[in-house]
Amino acid sequence: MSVAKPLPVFKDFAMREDAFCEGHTLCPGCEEAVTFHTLGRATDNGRKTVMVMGTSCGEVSTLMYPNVIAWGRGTEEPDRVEKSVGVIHHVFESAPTVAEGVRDTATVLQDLGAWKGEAPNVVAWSGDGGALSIGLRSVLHTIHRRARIALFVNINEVFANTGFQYSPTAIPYADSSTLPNGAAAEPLDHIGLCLTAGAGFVAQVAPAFAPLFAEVVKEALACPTTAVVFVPSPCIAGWKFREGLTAELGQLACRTGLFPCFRKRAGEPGELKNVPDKAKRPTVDHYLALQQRFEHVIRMKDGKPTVVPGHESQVATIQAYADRNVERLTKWAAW
Amino acid sequence: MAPTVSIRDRLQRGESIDIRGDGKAGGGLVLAIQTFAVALSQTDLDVQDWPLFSSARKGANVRAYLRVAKGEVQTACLVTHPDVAVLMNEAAGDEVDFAEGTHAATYVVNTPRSPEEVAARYRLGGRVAVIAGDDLGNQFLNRPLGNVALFAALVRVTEAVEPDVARRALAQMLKKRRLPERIIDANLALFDAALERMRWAEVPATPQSDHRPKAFQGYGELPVGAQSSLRTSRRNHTAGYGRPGVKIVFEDAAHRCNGCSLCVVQCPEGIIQFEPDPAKGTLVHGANFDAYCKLCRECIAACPLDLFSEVPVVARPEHAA
Amino acid sequence: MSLVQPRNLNGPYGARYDGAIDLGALQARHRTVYPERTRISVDGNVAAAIPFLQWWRSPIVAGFPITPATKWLEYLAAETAGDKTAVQWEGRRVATKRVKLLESEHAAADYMAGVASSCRDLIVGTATSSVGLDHMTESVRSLGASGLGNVVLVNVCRATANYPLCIEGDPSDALAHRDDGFIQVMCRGKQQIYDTLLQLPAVGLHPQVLTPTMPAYYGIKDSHRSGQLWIEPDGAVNAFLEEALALGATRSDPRDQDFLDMGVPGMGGPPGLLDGDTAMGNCVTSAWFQGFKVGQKARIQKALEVLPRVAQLFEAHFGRPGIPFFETHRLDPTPDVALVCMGPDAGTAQQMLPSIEAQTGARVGLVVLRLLSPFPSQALAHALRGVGAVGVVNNAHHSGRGHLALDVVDALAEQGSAPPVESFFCGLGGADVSQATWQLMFKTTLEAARRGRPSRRWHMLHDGLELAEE
Repeated sequence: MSVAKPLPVFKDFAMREDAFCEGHTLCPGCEEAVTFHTLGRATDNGRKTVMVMGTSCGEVSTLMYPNVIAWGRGTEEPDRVEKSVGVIHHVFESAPTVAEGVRDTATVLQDLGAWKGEAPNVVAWSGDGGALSIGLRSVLHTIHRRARIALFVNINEVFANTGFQYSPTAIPYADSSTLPNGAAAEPLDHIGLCLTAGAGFVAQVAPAFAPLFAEVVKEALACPTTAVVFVPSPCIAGWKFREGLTAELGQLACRTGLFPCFRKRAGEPGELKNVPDKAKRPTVDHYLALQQRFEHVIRMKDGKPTVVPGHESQVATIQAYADRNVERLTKWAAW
Repeated sequence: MAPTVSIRDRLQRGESIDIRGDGKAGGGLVLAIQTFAVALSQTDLDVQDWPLFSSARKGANVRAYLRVAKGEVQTACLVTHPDVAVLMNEAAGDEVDFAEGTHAATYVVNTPRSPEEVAARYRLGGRVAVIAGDDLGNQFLNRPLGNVALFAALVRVTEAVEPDVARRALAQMLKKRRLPERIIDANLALFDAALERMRWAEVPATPQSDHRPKAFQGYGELPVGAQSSLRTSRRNHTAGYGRPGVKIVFEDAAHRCNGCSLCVVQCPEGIIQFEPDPAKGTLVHGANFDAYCKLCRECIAACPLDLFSEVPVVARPEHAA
Repeated sequence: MSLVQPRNLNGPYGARYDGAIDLGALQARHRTVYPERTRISVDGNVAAAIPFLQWWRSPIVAGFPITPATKWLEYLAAETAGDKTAVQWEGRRVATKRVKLLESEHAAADYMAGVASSCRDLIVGTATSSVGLDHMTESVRSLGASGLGNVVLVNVCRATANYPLCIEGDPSDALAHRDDGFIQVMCRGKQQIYDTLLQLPAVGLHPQVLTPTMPAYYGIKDSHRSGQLWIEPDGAVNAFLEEALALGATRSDPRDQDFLDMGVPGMGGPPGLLDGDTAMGNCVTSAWFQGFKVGQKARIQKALEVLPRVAQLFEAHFGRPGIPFFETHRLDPTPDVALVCMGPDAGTAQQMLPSIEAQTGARVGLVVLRLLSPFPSQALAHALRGVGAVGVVNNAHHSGRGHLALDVVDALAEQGSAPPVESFFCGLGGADVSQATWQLMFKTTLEAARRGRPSRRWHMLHDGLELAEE
C-alpha cells in the first residue's frame, strides 16, 4: 500500500485558517503582509495565539481603530479559545519584552492549573528600528533570558514607518532621508548578536523563498527558547523600485550574499542556503541598479547596471561587504 | 448664468482662498499642491500648504490643503469649505466626496472626461475644469502621472499666477528633486501642453450640488484604551490602491492549476480563492480582486502556468447628465 | 471546572472566553504567608512588598533595582527564592510566586504591560524611583491610558535626575509624572504604605475607572526607616479585595452579570489577550484621539467616587480608616491658618501643633495630602473654607510657585473667595525639615492671614532660615 507523501509545510499552511485579514493598508506588494499571512496560518495549530507588535508599518497598517483591524482568525469570532487571537501593540521597542510577559503569564497559569489548554503561540514582531536600533536592548535581553517566544524582525534597512530614515541594518551607501547617499559603515551583524546572546534558533529568509520560509516559521514556533527570524523585505516605497520586483529583489539580496538565507539551531550545525559559490554568485551590481536608493552609485542604463563615474570604489565596498558577509555567516553557521 | 467670480479677482479683493485636494498616495497630489504654493509665493500673496498628516501609504487616500491671501495667512484650521476642490485620482473620488463642503465652487479634476460628464458624475455646480493628466503623463513621461498637468490646470483656472511664473516655479521644484535635465524638460513640455488642453465649463448649481458636510455629532462611547474587536478591516476595500485602468484576472478554463500554492502564500492581501486538495495543495479558482486587489502583481510573478494576467478595465458607465 | 464558552458581551472589545482561565485554581494554589494578624518592624520598602506575597491574584512581579526602591525587589527575591513559595500540584513542586528580573526599568514596565494585558484578573506590580520612572516614561504614560487597572507601580520618591545627582527622597519624580495617567496616592509611615497597597487595586480595577495605580512614598525618610506594621492575615486581605472588586459589579450592567452568576472570582470588563479575541493598543488619527482622552479623564475622575467606597469597606474589614483624600489635623473648628503638605515630615508638624498654638495664641491646622491624581480639589477647598491663610509646603523643585501650590490655589479659587496662599520650598532632595522650619512656615502663614496677602511669591527655607531673594 503506498503512503501519501506529506505536503510541504507551505502548502499545509496555505490550507489553514488565516489570522490575518484583507483590508489592511500596507503598500501593494509589501512582504510584511506575506509574512503576516504565513504567521496567521502557521499559528492555526491548535494553540491559542498572541501577537505582539512593535510600532512599525505593520502596526499602523493593521491596527488602526476603527476600520483597519486586520487580525482575527476566520470570518467570525471563533467559538473556541484555541482559535482566538489576542493582539497587542504597546510602545516602539517593547514587543519582545511584552511577549515575554505574555509567555510568563501563560506559563504560570498553566503551572498552577489555571490554564488547561496547550501553551499558546507567542509571536513578537518588530521592524529594523524597534528590534535593532532603539530595541536592541530588549531583543538581546529577552534572548538572554531564554524567553519562549518567536521574534520576527522585518529588515528593510530603513525606518520605513516614519519616512525611510537611516537604520543600522543598512548596507553601505544606501540613500536615506537622514543620511543622504548613505555612508561607508557596515550594518550590525544582527545574526551574530542574537546567536551570542543565546538564541535557541536564528534564521533569515525572505518570503520570496516560500517553501523555506514556511519551514523556518514552523521551526520558530516550536522553539523551546527564543527564536529570532529575520525577514529581509524589499520596501517598494523606501527603496523605490518598479512594481512586481519584490520577489526578484528578495531572492537577489540572498544570492548576492547581502542577506543570505540562514538557519541555525543553537549548538547544532547550521546552514546558508540559496547562496551560490563565489564563482557562480551574482555580483551586487544588478541588485543595486534596480533600486533608486543606489542611483548615486549605480543605475540601469539601457538595461545594464552602469556605475556612476567616480563611484566605482563604493560599489566595490558593497561587493566586498557582501563577500565578507557570506564568510562570516558561514562561520556563524558552524559556531 | 453668471460666471463664477475668478479666483484671481477674489484674491485681489483681499479675500482668503481655500484649496483642498484628494488623491491617492503616490499619485502626485501633494507635489502638485506644493508646486502651486511655490508658484503663488513668487507673487505678493502669502500662502500655506500642507498634506493631511496620516500614515497613508502607497495607494491609500491622501488629502492636501492650501490657503492663500494677500497679506498674512494666519488661519490654521482645516479647509472644510474649499473655494477650489481638486481631484487628482478619480479612484480617490470613489471613496471620499472630494467636493464636500462646497455648493458652487471651482473644481479641478484629473480625468479624460468632459467637464459636463464630470459635473454629472460628482454632482458639481460652478466652474468645472478637467485635464487628462494621466494621458499627458504617458505621452511625455511614459508614466500615467497627472500631477504636473493638474498643476497647469490649477494655474489656468484660477489665474492666480502668471503661467511663466508658474513654469519657473515648476522647473525650480524639479531641480530640487535632483531629476536629470531631460526629465525636467519633458515635464515642462507637459506643463505647456496641459495649459493648452485644459477644458472648463460653467455648470449651474443645484440642490444636488450642495455637498454640505455632516456636523460633528460627538465621539460617542469609545472603548477604553481603544481596545477593539477583530476583523474590522474587511470593511476596508483596498482595490482602489492600484493604478486605474487595469485589473488582474485569473483565467483557467482548462483547470490547469496544479495546486502549487505559490500564489496563495505570496498574495499580500490573502484573497486567492481555492479548493483545498490534501494530496496536491490549493486548487485555485479565482480571487477577490474587485474588493481588495492592489495590483501588486505578485500572483503574476508567482504562477508557473501564467494563469493570472493584467488586463485593461472597461470604462464605467456614465450617469445621466 | 466551567465549560469554556465564548461570550461577546463586550461587543466592541471582541469575545471573551469565560473559563479559559480558571481563577479558582489560582486561588486554590495560594500559599499563605501570614495566617494571622502580626505586628513586625519593617521599613517602607518591605511594607510595600508584602501585599504582593499575600495576594493570590499576584503570581508575578517585575523589577529592576534602583535606589531607594531596591529593597522592595530584594525582599521579594529573598522571600520567593528556591522552594519558598512552592506548592505540590499534579505531581510536582510549582512556585506560586515569581520575581522577574528585567534589564532596565523600561523593560519592567513593558513586561508588566504583557502580564496585565494577558490576564486582566491578575495584579502585577513593580517598584521604582526617579530616573527609573523617567526611563520607563513612555511605557508608563501608555499604561496610564490603557485601561489596565491591574498594574500597580510603587514609586519610591527621589530627587530627579542629575546636575547634581542625589539619591535621597523628594516627590519631584512623582509630581513630574502626575499626568502619566496613574491614580497617585502619597503615603507616609509603614501602615499607610501597606494599607494603601491593599486598597488601590480595587480602585484601579473598578469597571468605570480601569486606571493603573501608583502608591508612592518618600525615599530614605520612609523607605529606609523602620517602624511598626500591623500585617493582616492573607485570608482577610484577599477577602477584602474580592469584596472591594465586587463593588464595581452591578446586576444592571450586563458585562458584570456573568461574573456574579458564575460564582468564580473573575470580573466583567474587557477581555485579556489570553482569554479574548481582541486587539489592544490600536492607533488612531487626530479625528479620534481626543474622544479617547475624554473617556480617560472621566475614568480617573471617577476614582474620586470609588476611592471613598473602597476606603469605607476597608474600615469595615480592618477597623481602621482606609485611604482618605487627605489627612486633616485640627481643622475642626476652623483654625486661623492651615498648612498643606505631604510626606513623612508632616509628622513633625503634626506633633508640633499644640506647642505652636501655645506659642502664638492662634489656632493652626494641618492637611496632609494623600490622593494626588486625580486631585481632590473640591474636598480640599471645602476642608479649608473659612481659614485665614494657607501655607503650602512643596518638597519638590519647581520653576515657579510649586506643583502643590498651584493645585491648592486652583482648588481655593474654584470655591469663590480664596484666602492668601504662602508657598514654601523645603526638604528638597531629602533635606532635613527641622522644627525651626515648621515654626517659620506657621509664623509666616499667620502673618499672611493678618496682612491679607502673602509676603512674596515663594519662600525657600532651610533650618528656620529664608534662603534666597526671589
